[in-house]
Amino acid sequence: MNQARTPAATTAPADPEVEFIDIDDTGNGADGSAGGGAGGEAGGGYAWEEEYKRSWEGIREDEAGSLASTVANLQLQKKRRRRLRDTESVQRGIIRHLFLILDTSSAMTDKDLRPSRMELALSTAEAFILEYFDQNPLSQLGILVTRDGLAEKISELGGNPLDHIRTLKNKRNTNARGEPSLQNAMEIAMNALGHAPAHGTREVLLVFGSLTSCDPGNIQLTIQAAKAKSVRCSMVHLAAEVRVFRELCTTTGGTFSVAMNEAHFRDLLFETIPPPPLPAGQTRAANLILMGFPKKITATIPTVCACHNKFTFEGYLCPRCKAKICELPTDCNICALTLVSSPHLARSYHHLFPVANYREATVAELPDEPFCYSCTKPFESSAGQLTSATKHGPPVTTAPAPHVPAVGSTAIDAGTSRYICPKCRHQFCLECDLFIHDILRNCPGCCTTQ
Amino acid sequence: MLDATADTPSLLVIVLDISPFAWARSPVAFPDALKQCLAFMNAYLALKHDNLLAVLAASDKGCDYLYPTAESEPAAPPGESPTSDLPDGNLYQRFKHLDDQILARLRQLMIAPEPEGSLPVPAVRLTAALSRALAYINRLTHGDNPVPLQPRILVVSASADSSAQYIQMMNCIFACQKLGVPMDACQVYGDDSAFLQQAASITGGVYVRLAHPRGLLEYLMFTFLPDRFARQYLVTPEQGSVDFRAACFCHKRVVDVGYVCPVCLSIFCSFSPVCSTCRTKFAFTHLAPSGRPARLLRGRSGRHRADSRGLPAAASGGPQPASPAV
Ligand SMILES: [Zn+2]
Ligand SMILES: [Zn+2]
Ligand SMILES: [Zn+2]
Ligand SMILES: [Zn+2]
Ligand SMILES: [Zn+2]
Ligand SMILES: [Zn+2]
Repeated sequence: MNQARTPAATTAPADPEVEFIDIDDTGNGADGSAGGGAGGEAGGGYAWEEEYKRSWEGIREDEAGSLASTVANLQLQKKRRRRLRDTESVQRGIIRHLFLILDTSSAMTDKDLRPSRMELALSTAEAFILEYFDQNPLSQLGILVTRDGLAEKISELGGNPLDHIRTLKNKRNTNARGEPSLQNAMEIAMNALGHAPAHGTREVLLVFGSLTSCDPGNIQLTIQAAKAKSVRCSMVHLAAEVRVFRELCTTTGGTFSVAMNEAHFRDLLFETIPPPPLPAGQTRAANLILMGFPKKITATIPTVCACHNKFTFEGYLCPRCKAKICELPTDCNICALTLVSSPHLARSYHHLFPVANYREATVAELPDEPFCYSCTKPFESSAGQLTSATKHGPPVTTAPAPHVPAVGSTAIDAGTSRYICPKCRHQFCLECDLFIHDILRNCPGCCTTQ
Repeated sequence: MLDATADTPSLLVIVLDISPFAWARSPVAFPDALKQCLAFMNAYLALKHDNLLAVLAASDKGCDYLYPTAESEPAAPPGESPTSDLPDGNLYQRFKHLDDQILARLRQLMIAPEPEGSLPVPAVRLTAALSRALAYINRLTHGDNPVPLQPRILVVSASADSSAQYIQMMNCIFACQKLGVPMDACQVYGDDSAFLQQAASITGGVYVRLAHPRGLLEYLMFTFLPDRFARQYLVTPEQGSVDFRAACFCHKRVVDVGYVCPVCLSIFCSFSPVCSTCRTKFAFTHLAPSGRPARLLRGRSGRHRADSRGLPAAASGGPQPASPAV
């Protein structure tokens, strides 16, 4: 395939979820954004007033309903998405090397996603970078942009999120123009990733808005090269599915997805944040890594730090060469030892020991606890029982009040909105379920038994 | 968070260690300490009329809310506690209600039967209490009807760290960090608690180990009473140095340079051919060096080639395809 463009005609039969997408990328504003998703409240107003060809089924149902039910529905949808995540304790590539490739071609100026594809991609990428380093503290990330048939590395593989965000902020006022080049971007990314140590993963995450790619050579060779170098490529596309793009992702073991709206785009991007499971039976050469765990010191007299040559009171002392470093994790500026603090390592341990998914309680199990175990929010449907159960004293969760009548639960419909931990059998509200799995990563009930 | 002003009410969640094992050896008896804590709670509530308070008790058996118990939130029924419910002329009703409720609840917990299947390990369920405290804070500050609050957590601990709870403790600390909740810690006696020290350091809280445990109330009042806003103007106790060193998984020995498994991040103090956590086999040959030497090497060879391919074409500026791929 030596032609300069990967024509839009190669678009494969679209996913069921993107069936309604307008393939014609150049049509101005024809494919508007679905303002649904979690941003439904804010962006919804605009979205309804325009003509759309995107999939609407999900939101139409809510049209007649009140806002509260819409929000509840969206929460449940969000939750359902999350519930699909596996909680099995698999081997994961915790030390990652990832290149984020952003399309900055003219296709990104489209305003079908608010405020524009470009703005959305940049602002979401910033949030992505913060979250990426939060969950993968020992990992590295680099950024590439591509336009005018060229690719440019705007930040090297590095571990400091603030550096990357600063570079992205600078990119905000550059013009999006021309066409992206998948091949050029991939070549640069693969070149840089080729030097990543063998114990880490090599990944590329592409955010594309264009349906074409301006490539100098045969893209198939690049795809094969990526596969040979075990570079895992994933793409979140802002418009539609393109066969070549999908092929790149599936061949290299990554995922390809198309964003339906702003919130969906964010979700898709953030789904790539947990470290990917290692393919079973992968015999990668693993090497133990030598790391130093510096002590934090606060001195009464400021001394010069090794990283910025500034006088500081606080710092971390490299255990090998005793140089003072301002921030962790980093490599020692003097002796190149990888310096981390034990909390950095611990931040990744939840990937190894994930909290089991809670399941929604059935009506039969209901009367056990009238309150959410962790936040003491009374369960709505048991408001009647609540008074009778607790009138004569606070509930003792270790010994549930025996006089709560089981018949009281008949009023509760199928959606109980209580969630039970399969291990400790305590019940939680939706809010806590999300909090426990997304942020806390401890089951409060299981903590008492472990 | 940062936008907290002087008028933002506080939400203080106190996690109180009530393990009899720990308090038995304490220089200050538990009833005394409890009295001082109650005085502190009263003082806290008196500070601002809309300050919110929650108290959790953590023992070796488990943990539970002392205040507010679930039904006391909507309407505070004054009576029905085992102690006399006559209004006390010398005590503000809200304080009396709080004191009565906490004492009644403690009594209940003390006589509560052992939960089935509990292990006879006298480790305080601190992380369980912290997890519930965080869920509580999350509901009030990020739930359906969030109100502007300055949440914080105060741990009053008399026990030593339980290394079995290390990962859970770390999860709690990171959750605190994400919610912007500083975790204050007051170690009543004994050795410094490395967990609580790290917690305070990471979340921006205050850690104090009492030099004179009998003066608990004084420490509480002077160090932990001011809210985050007020603390900007105060000199809070600082931790001279925080130990961020890790314990190796093989001998539980504290190391400052160790070997880390790249797959599961287990820490070992010496080279081992197989990771004991995830069973990854390691190559004997050379240990992976830290990033720097590799990066220098790359700068000389690969990177420049990649760049030079892109740059000249960029100068020409045309939409033509770049030079053929290598
Ligand atoms: Zn510095
Ligand atoms: Zn050093
Ligand atoms: Zn809850
Ligand atoms: Zn559980
Ligand atoms: Zn060891
Ligand atoms: Zn391992």
